[in-house]
Amino acid sequence: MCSTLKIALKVLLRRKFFTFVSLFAVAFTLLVLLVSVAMLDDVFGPQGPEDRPDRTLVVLKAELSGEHSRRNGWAGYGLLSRTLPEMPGVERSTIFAMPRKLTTYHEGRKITCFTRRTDGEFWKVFRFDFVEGQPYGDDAEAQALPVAVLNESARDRFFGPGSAVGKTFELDGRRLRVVGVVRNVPSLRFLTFADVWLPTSLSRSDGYKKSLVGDFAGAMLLAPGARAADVSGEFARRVGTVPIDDDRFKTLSASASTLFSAVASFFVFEGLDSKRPGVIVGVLWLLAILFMGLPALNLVNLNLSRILERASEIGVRKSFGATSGALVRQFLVENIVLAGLGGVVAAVLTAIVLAVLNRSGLVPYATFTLNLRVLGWGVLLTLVFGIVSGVLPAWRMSRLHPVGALQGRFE
Amino acid sequence: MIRHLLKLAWHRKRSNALLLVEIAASFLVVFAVAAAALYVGSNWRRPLGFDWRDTWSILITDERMEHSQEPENDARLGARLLDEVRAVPGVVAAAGMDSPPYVDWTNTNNFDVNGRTVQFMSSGATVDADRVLALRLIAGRWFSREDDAQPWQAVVLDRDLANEFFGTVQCVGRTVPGTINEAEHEQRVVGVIEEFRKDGELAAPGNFLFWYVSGEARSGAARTNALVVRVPPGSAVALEEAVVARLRAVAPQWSFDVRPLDQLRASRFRMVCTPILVLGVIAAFLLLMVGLGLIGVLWQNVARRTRELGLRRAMGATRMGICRQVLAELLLIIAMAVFVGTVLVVQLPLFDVFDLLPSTLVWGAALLAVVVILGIGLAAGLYPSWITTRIHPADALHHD
Repeated sequence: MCSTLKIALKVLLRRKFFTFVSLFAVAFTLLVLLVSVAMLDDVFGPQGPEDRPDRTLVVLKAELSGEHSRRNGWAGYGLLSRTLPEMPGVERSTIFAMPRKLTTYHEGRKITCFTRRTDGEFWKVFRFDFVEGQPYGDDAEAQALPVAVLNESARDRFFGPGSAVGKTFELDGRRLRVVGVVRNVPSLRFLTFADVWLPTSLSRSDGYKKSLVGDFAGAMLLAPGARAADVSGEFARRVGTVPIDDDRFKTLSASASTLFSAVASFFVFEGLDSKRPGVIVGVLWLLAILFMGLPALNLVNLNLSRILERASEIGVRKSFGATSGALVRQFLVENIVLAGLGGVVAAVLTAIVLAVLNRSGLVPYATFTLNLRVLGWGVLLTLVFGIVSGVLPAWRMSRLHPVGALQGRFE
Repeated sequence: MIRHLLKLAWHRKRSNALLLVEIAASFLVVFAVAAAALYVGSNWRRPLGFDWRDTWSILITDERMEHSQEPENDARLGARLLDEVRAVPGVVAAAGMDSPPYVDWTNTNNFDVNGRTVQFMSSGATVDADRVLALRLIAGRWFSREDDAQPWQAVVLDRDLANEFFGTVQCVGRTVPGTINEAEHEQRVVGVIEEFRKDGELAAPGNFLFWYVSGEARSGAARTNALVVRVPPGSAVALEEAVVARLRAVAPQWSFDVRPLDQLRASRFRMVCTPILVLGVIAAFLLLMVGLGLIGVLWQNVARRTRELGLRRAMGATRMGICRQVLAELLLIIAMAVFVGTVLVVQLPLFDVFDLLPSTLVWGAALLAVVVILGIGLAAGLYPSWITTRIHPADALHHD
């Protein structure tokens, strides 16, 4: 194995132009894939407030359907408040609104804030990083106290840096008191992201309390040892018992699943149920492999054209009894070493690209990072790429006829 | 000559086949990016139909979400909001509109007209909306107070929709072939405007219909979802603040969000252009990679054929002749790959999947892709074919 690696490095150093071209192809391909993985990880990975994704079940969408009409959208408060409380196997559950853009005029400036209405439990199901102060509790929700939690960005825009707890500000015609400031949550984390969080009951009217389809979502933190399937089964049963007071609609549907499955079900075609995130994982892999196709083909062509270079070496090894398998292994290892080098270059480039993306503000509050999970995926993708692009040339080389190879004939 | 080249290519069909697939795949990549860019570009050149400068949309949200229980009340309130905004000093004109330009939500309708399905977007609008958005009338008039008392509901079509419905823009007074929003009244055309593209310069062209919202509860449309307001150039945030304060005083149960159209337009542009730009950059790097790979492959091929080419030189072929042969072989492969790619690509208009893509656009993008691929292929072939000119016949024949 050691000698194989040595040969691999020697081969790489022999023809610098070819090594450069191959490395460029590998590094560029892996760069694009790694950046995509880092973005996916930023949305779904266990970090920030959503640090327990495997124990969290979410209810995002709801649909009312009848013979002639259909209404779908985010879940409604009425649906969630009738199904989520006192669910067996669930430690805590929360009902919260999807963020809404609200504007306010503050000292002659216009400030736009994504505002999310939540209950007090929200802060226990999701764990925010408080810079100062603390969250509001269920009492704030029960008494409709005019309090708010800000992220750092909103704090800076309203008050400038420095302590903000206890200060008041106006938002959408209401005066609110700051009780806490949290670190910015990336806007791609659409379950928790907001600039301002305030109690749900601080609403202008309580019409939202009845709606089955609306602009709310629910999340349940499973008790340790509880099974997700049991909880989502019980949730489905409860959804069936919710009365529908609109005669245009007959059935109400909603489901509780992990965030990844729930989001996957937005994209997967209708009819595929959301309990099979495997489908979307498969689609992602397919996209990745399709994207790898052209660079891999490029590398295959390059390697095939270089068989000549290696012909005499192959001839010698074959005449001394090396099996085809041994040769295939050798050339595959060479290609994987090359892919590995490209992977290292790609990792460095990815870190740079992600830093630029974070700085650019294209995705508000983005915190794309090259963490261990992403690097792990990088290693896996590198291996896949190395094998996909190396198998055919390796196989072709191993089949050279020894005599012909020694003479330099290779067709 | 070509037959000879074909024979040469056929002899190395296995490696050439992979090369061909690679070039064809690159062709498809260039085609995809070119088609996206051409599509956006061709939309950009069409007339827009309204003026987005110095105009705001004010989105009105009611936290009750459901349809209003008190339509009469809401309608009266909607009408009062408009009066209030018009009274603010500095406001040039104001009107109500359900889906203002560049706003995400749309109302899409389908009518069957003479056996064809005509799809169009629609929005409620009040009097003066034409003044706020500087709509250009080509026939009839915009909504006015005289439409209040009519036993029918007034609608205004854009040029495209008038042509779809009636085959002519001179259709004032005719009845729309269908009803929108389950209206109880027939809907009659009072005017036709120039092509109106609500989603802006980069969006696909479409048909548009405005129906009249009078400020009285009727046809289910109690109030509009938004207001559009024209303001003097260079208005300060203070004016926004004054308008919102006035609106809040009238309807404290609703929230108001002022979005200047120029900002909405800019964010639309970002949404459309960012993916194309990202794809373009990725495609450019892919092509650079393919080009470099091609140089490598050709270089090796030439090196491998030193003997053959040397023999030709010894038999009297000129340097340029050999150089030309190598390039012609390359061109042959590229031509075949481009042919394969084009055959695949021209199937697109045949399937109805991409009825967005007119066939001229497909051909344009294919042509662009052919040019780009040929350019890259020839550029990649330059160095390797130049090497052949330096092959010395005597050396070549020694070569082993």
